Amino acid sequence: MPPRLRPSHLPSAANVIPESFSSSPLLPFLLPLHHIYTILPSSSRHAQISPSSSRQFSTSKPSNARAARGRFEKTPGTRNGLIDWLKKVAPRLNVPSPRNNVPVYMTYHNNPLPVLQSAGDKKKKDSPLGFKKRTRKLDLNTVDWEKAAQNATMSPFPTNPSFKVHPCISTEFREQIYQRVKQGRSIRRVSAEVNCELERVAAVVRLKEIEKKWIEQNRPLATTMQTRVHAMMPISQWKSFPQHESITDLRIHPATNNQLFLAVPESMPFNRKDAGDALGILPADERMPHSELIGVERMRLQGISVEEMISREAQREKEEANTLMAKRQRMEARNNAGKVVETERFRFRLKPAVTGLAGHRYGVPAEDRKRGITKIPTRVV
Amino acid sequence: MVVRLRLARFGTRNRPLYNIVVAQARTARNSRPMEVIGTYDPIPRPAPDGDGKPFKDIQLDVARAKYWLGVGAQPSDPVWRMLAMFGLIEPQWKIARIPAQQEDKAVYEKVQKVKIIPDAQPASTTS
Repeated sequence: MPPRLRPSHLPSAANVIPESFSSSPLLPFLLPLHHIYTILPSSSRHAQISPSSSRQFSTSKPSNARAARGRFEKTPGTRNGLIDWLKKVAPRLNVPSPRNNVPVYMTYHNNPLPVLQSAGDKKKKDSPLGFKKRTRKLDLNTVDWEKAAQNATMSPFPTNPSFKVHPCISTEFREQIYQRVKQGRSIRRVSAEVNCELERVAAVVRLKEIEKKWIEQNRPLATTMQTRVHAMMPISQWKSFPQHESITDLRIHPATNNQLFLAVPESMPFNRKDAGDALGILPADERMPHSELIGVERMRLQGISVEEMISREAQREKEEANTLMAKRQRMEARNNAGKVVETERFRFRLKPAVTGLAGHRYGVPAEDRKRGITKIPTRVV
Repeated sequence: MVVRLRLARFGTRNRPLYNIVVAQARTARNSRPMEVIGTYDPIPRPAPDGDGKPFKDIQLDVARAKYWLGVGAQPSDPVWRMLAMFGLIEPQWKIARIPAQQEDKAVYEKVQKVKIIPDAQPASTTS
């Protein structure tokens, strides 16, 4: 593992991490939490784009939604109007059409695809080509894809700059994640280390497994696809302090979609835990991914020493692994409970039951949905 | 009237669930039974470990089933098959029995011993 250095653009932390822990895998735990939300300069390709607007947890429609809908109301003749426009006006606008199997959105760019140094010189000698001609005679073999990847912006479609994409992670980044998990670290810990969501780390590991298997089997990999996609999208590079996305975003729970009015005494404190109880769900602190980071931050605020924090974290991870193992064993025991009779197609699991408790619907099915059976009683008992 | 051990269909369309019931033979299938002694889920579930055969669950109160068989209740064919799996009656048709679980180990060993004796006899007669 490379030594982790603090990037210079990060705000200085109140407690300075001792040098002896600079290579500790627990470093992300020990750093102040705000590093996750650090916004890089907007000129940087790695600038984080916020997952949504400031109304992150709101599911209601924005107030101007109705007005916006009204403006784009479908009017008769719109389609014909577009076709007419395409016929009359579009030819004059020099809109490129796909050629040489290269999609339009890559060639129709103010900065055309970069050409390899040697190939570019040769071409220049032949004829100084204009942008339009160059796109027509684009030779995919001479394109410098690495440079193209560096030039990629947040909006892969140049004619639609409002379409923004999230960055994807680089090849090295993925390899690093895989190696970390292979070393036996938990997905949760790796996720906190490399600042990638839990799901992404899990997906990377699964796909890497398949990739390694394919390489073993000498199956061709779709690397061409990868270079093209990387040329269009921003990429999070692997650094000494990897940063890809916010890992502590709380998902919207369906139970919170409906409003809930609760009468509470004015003097009573009402916190997230009470809100969770009222909605019948876990409190936000426990529901969020990486809830353990809260504990780490709390320890930091209490002024607990770094060694103590590391030992406590290790202890917590061990306990978590144990409970998970116990849960799995219980599930296995439940699945394998009772006698099993195996036939040609199925396994029958024979389980004991108690008369009086066994059976559905007290032995009589409800037939109120059958044709001809009235739900409303016709007799008074 | 004959008392039968049979299945009563519950659940919805395309998703059946059965109660194993004790009922008078001539009453309707889903009428109130004399007793419910178990359930049967005919929809196979995928194997819990991911590979292997899909499984189906049968729950049965063995003591009550034994009692009703003892007093002359007649199982229907599907219930007969299930009772045979529980080892309460002889199977009508041959079914593959694999005593896989530990609680059946004693019975399994007993069966093995019984098998060994007839094997030994022809060996001794030939020699």
